[in-house]
Amino acid sequence: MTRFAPPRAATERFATLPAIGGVGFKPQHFDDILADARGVGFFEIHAENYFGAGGPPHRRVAALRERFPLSIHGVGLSIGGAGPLDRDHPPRLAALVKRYEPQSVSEHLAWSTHAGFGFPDLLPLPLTEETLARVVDHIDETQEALGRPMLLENPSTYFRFAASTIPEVEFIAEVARRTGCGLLLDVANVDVSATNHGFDPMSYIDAFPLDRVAEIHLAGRFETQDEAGHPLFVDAHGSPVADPVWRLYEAVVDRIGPVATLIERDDDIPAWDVLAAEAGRATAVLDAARTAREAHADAA
Amino acid sequence: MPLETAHAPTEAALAAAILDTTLPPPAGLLGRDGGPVGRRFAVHRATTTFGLIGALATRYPVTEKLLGVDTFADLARAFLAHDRPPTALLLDWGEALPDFVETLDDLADWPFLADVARLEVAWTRAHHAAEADPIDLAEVARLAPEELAGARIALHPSAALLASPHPVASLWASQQDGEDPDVEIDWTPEAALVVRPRADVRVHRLTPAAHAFVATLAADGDVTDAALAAGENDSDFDAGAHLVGLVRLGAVVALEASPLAETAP
Repeated sequence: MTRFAPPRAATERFATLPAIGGVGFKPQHFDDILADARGVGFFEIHAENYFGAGGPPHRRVAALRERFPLSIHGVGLSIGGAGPLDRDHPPRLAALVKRYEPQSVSEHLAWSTHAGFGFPDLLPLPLTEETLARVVDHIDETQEALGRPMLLENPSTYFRFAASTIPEVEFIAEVARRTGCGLLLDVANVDVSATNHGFDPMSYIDAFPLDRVAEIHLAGRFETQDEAGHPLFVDAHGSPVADPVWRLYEAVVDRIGPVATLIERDDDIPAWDVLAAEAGRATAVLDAARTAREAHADAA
Repeated sequence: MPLETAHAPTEAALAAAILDTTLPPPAGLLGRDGGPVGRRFAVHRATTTFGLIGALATRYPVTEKLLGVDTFADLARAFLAHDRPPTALLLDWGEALPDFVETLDDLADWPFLADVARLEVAWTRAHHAAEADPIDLAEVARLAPEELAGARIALHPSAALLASPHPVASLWASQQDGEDPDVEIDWTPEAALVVRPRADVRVHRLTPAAHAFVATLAADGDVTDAALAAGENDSDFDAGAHLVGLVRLGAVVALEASPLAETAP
């Protein structure tokens, strides 16, 4: 059978979401989604919100999963942590993945637990050979528990560590090479970090291992300044995707072709049709890239 | 300083400076062009604090409505000095708030608040509890009257009982959407049964006798034991009618004439 199957996208070994716009699922949108989700290709849930046994949270996700592809996005595994992973966390994530068989499973290059204290945040780590080895071990352990590859998301950061010895893109590429994981490219995070540290976001994209990118995230940011008057962007997920991020996204899609793209919104949640329209804008960018590629292929 | 000799702040130092906002950010962090990191580090402090306060507000919406948003935030901040989540998994955290409320002199004029918060703990547990199919009335009708007297039940895995010297169920109900929050409440002791038979969590007010009846059944007593316990509160207590009522609420997942082979989870 497989001998005659059409060529598969290189990233299908990491995730199989359709290359359309998707939306982070919020329970208050459930009825509206079932009534009309035209132009929205998939939904993403935060894994830890579904670590309970049953009830309305699981009933809603089960109903969504019958109708749409699903991405499960962890926000609390603490892959970048100095200590071992919480013993219970990978099995609970694995049970959720087994329950819903999502098209994508992802987590962050960050830590959120230290010595009996949990932080509802994605905290940064120095990028060194030592932390690289630790992150690799933690991803190996997670993928072992899941029985499938996961995607690792690039972080948004507000400061750097003087002790870091490995550029972030190289660090991520090496983690992916050693663990065999795929990557989730958060274009808004690239823009936030580029602004906060004063580098060119496109040079980051150029150096990123794009052949492993199986999902893209877009989100709004909060704009403020540091004490020195430099712009300080916060990865706040409380506003629409900013225009410069859309332009960076278009450049990424132009470079790598259509990839499943999620609109993240976790604060100041608008009505469903507002988020669906943002996902539709991503779908339009993806469709245009697809058309351009087909035209290019026809001409060749 | 050459890069290879710079020491990164330990995770412990980073964690400590997020938890204790009176500490400066750890050394070894760089802002843009090596500039200041104070406001940059403060982003993580704010995210953590607001994230935890938000998690408590989500878990205790009625407590927040009764106190007001600002006072609830003050309560949440005080609680954070006393109890922190052990992991980033907030689903399991925050159940110690009611006991903490009882220790606060500032809330001594709100003696009912801890029990309202306990009702909210039961609500959240029920919301996330495992699914189970309630039995229907045919299962009750199946048993002969003499079998019913020795029957035991298994409550739904979402079910929880709460007895209070305060009108806890009425207070909770008055703060739900569409209800009059200033409705006059009969200030008498109340008990509540929280259960989620299908999709939605329900909060039922119980008389003291009905509470004694259900509590005895929940502790694996049989219907006769439960009727005796209820009778201490109400000499006219109708055990049969209350058993039927409990089944009608969807709170019962098994009814056995003899002791159950398996107890409820």
